[in-house]
Amino acid sequence: MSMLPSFGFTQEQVACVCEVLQQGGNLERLGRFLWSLPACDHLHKNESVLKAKAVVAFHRGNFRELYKILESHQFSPHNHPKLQQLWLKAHYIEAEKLRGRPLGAVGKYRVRRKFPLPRTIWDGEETSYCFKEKSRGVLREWYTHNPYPSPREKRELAEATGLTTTQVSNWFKNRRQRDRAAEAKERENSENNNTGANKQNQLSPLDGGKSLMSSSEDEFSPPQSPDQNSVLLLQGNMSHPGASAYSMTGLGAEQSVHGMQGHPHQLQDSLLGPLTSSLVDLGS
Amino acid sequence: FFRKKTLGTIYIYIYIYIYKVYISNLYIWLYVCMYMTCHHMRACVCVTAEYHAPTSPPTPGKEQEVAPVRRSSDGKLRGRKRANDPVPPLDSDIERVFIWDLDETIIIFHSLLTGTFSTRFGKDSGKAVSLGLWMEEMIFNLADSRLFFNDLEECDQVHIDDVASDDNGQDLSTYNFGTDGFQSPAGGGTLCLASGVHGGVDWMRKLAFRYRRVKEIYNTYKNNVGGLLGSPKREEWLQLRREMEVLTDLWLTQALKALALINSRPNCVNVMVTTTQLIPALSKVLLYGLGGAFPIENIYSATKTGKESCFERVTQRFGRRAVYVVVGDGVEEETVAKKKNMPFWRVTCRADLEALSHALELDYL
Repeated sequence: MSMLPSFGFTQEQVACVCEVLQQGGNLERLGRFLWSLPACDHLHKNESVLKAKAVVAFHRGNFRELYKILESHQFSPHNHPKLQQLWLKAHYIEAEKLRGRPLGAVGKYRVRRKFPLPRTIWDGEETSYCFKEKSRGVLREWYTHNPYPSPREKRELAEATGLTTTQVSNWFKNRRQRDRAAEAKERENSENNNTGANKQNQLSPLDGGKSLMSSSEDEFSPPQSPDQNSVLLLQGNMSHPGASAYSMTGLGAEQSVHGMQGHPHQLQDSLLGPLTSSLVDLGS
Repeated sequence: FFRKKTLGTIYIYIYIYIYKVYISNLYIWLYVCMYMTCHHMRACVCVTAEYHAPTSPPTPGKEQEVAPVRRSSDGKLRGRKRANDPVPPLDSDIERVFIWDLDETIIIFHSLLTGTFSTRFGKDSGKAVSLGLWMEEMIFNLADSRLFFNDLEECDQVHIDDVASDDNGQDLSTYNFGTDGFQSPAGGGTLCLASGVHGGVDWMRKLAFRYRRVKEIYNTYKNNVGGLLGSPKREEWLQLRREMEVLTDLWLTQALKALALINSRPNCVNVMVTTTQLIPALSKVLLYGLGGAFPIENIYSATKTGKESCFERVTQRFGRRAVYVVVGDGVEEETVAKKKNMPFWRVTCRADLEALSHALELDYL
């Protein structure tokens, strides 16, 4: 008797099976089950099924498939953590394969920057900082009033934020350094471009203790002329503008328009000249 | 000289081997005889759904005492295998725990009385109600007469072993429950509050005795309910069960199939969490022939503490490594399942149970 293996399971039941097998780590059985499902579009758009497919693809090392699944469907927030882990792990593994050696913390960081999380599995809100949002807010607030706290003030801040004084000192030191670097690049670029209305690089709310690059403000008013309206988040390969608006030091002058999803890449020809020089800097 | 010696040793080895095999066969034969006599199957209820475990090879833990057995005679013990092995696997070895709701998932009872079943599935409502009432009478009759429900109604527990710590383990074979003064006011301030059971140590001990006796009765008669009821009740009960199966289109049979599939696997267990009080729940379990599917230690009553706390107990018991699957029909179990991130298998009609059996057969669950 030729009975369809998936014999009239309801969508809910299919989702349940997917969940059970995933939780149990029985990925071979899960793969077999998914394969046996009828080619019903509606069924395959079900989130549990997609999640299962993603997990199986990862398990098999089929990373292209994994990325495709993760990017093509919007997932609900409670699944985000697991799927983000899959995305990141897959990229780490690929990078390690290229490198031939295991990846350290910095290597992983670079991978994360190179392949930012797609918005389908990330709400774009938080990145993993070392210090809590509250603490960072307090420090930022303080910085705007006075970038040079005295030792006593540092101690107070440490208490207020729940960090140690060393951490507070380092935070301020790094912040000052980055602002200085950003400012320097700003000025240099403004001299290069000879344009009038250069926005002052304000502090981005995304700035964090671990940020290595200067960042520019997300929501400032749109630039005056279309010439300045270039979205340059060239980070090696082309990546999504939807990522956080970090810009490389070399490209500090390019003002990143607030990362809205689906914003087109617009390389204005007029800026290609000065850009190549920045890119050369980047390469070094 | 050398050759003779080796030859001699070879003969000795062969002799020992044959001896071992002979002895082990003897052991098996004795074991099987003992095993069979313990379970007198007087009531052969094959027509209505009685729990029969599917034939499966003995679990490894079983024959530690007769190690040579496994080599030669696995086949001999296939016939009368029951789900509760003498040496069951440890709770921490379990990989899948199926948490079942009782009413309207495994058994059809309440919806017969309210008429929802007959409306939903287009059955004769008068018949449904009458069967429901009949079963209800049997349930409470059994609970009162053999399971001390009169005594224990106010002192409901979540689990059969919850008051075991007050037990002193004395022999109950000659103990007279009727005259031990449990019920009387002189028996010692017997107020069962929701917060716990209060009363003297003496009274607590009597309480524990009752629960222990209930456990004994359950374990003795779970595969022989007819023996517990005795004639003529037994015949009435058989008839009731037959008629119910006809009315419900073999709902219970389908459920039992799934339960048996789960029990046949050494790394899966069935647990029950029900909103009925414990004693009536046990009565229901026995009367619906589910005694073989659920060891009494796997039955929890959520009346006092709610389903969430029972689920919590279950997860504490089997650990985080296991995957928990909730099977039920109601909103309460679904909500708790979602909250605890447990996959939920909804049962609203018999086909859902069929699909569950199917998924188990195909090794998808």
